[in-house]
Amino acid sequence: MSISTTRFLAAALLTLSAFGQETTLDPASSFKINFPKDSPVTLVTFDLGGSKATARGGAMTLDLNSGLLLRNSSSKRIRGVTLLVLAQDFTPGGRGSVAVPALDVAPGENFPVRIDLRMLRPLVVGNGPLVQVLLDGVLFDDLSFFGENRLNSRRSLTVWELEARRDRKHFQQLLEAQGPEALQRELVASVNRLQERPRLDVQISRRGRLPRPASAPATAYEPERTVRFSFLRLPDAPIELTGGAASVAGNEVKAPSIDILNKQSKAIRHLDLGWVVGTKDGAEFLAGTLPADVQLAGNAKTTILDEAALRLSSRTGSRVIIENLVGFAHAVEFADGQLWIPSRAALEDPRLARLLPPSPEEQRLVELYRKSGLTALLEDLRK
Amino acid sequence: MNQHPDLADLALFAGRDLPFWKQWQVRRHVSSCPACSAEVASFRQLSSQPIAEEMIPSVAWEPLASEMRANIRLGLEASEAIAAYRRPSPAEERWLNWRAAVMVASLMAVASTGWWFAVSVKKLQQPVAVASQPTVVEATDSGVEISDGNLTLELRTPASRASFVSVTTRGGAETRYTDAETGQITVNHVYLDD
Repeated sequence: MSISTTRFLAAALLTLSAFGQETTLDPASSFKINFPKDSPVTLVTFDLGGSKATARGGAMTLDLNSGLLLRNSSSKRIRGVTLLVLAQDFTPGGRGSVAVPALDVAPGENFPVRIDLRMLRPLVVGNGPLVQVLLDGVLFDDLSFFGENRLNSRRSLTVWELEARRDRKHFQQLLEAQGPEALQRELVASVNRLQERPRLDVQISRRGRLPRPASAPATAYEPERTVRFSFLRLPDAPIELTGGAASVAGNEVKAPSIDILNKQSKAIRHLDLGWVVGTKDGAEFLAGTLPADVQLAGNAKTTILDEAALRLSSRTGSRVIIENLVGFAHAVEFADGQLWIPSRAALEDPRLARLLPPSPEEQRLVELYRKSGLTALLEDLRK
Repeated sequence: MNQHPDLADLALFAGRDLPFWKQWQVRRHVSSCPACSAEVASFRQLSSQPIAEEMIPSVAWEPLASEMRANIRLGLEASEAIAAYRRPSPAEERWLNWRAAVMVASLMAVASTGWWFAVSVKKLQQPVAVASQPTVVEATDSGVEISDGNLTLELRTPASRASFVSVTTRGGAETRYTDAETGQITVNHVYLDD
């Protein structure tokens, strides 16, 4: 056998072995956890059980199923943690995060964080760890914050904590005023709302252009039209949404603009507006939020413009045709750092109750009731 | 034309469906041949009989008839071309073989060059992820994903857990689920960089 033939066979064998081969990942080389030295949370254990890399054709798929056990090394109770997930070779101009809200971890206690990742990239050998996990922020029970806050996790963790306090207070008051049966009824209603909630898959592109879906027929064309927003008015909201429109074509909506009036004398620096989409068959879905950093003085007006394009698709495969758009105030951050969220009374509105997901704390309490029953729930609420 | 035209030609002649030259030849024969003239007359009589009521009304007969006529003409011309084919002499065959060999060799050269270019370009491009479509974030039941068609990062939601998905117009997608073992809430989020 000549040298060239031997080389060819060796190359062919190597190529064949690369296709469809699964490799178990080495935790040390594939995952790097970088917490600052003065971090209030420290890593106790780290498990990559079941994680694997698979080469398929010209691409490599990595499934990382990691379990982190973290310890509260601070002297305060932790209410929420956000971890920043960086996968440099895989992420096309973006990053990921894993947050754990609705926590109540005492100093010295451990708590788990689960990170399940799937990554796909061309089959190129790279250097360094595949994934880096950094600490973006920790929120304590006194609403103080630690962390780099690269993902604005201070705001999101604080909003979740305020929602948790609002909902715990509501359930505690209900328990005191009307007893366990009333609380039970409220939770059953919450469970039912969770199950009845319509679900859609949502895609978004900031550049106003979404790739054509593979399933779309080549001749499908939906003419664009301008749809005006209608608004849900929350009585205690510090802002009023006065007008707005977006461009709609079939199941896509883009370039929303909304006019806003600050009803208070305090300046506002950030807004989160909820965005509900009504379809031709009468269904309504909370598609997402429209966040905006603003410099809005007291009693002043502004208009929020966005170039984003959003596409909705039904999980049942049925065609979604957007008919109308509804906006509402979801959260407001004032210039002095104070936050406004809708009151529990405002959320009693049947339309909002149907559309809005429960807070993370309500979701946790519902799960506790479903899994462990009323006694465990009452014990938790008495903490 | 010394021999009688065959029945198919007579039928086509009766319906004026033969090519011009053939039509002229058959007409000359029919004008001097009583038997063929009788056949043509019978074909014309048949074609003039009312058959509309037997036809399926939903079928568009006119376009179908035109297509059939065109196919018949094509068939006749092809058969004439085959009949006119003459076997080449041994000297001509050698010339043809040589020409065929050159043609095959040229095609192989083009294909090899194309393959070589494709492989070379692929090797050059391998380390570079070419963004073929805009970067899109997506929130589904299985998790949140950021992808440009080549590179994908997905934060997955464990199967069969109730989840809430939403997106922000700033290019963020979020999914929230309850961990089955711990009862803890986890919020996975992907973001497009500013």
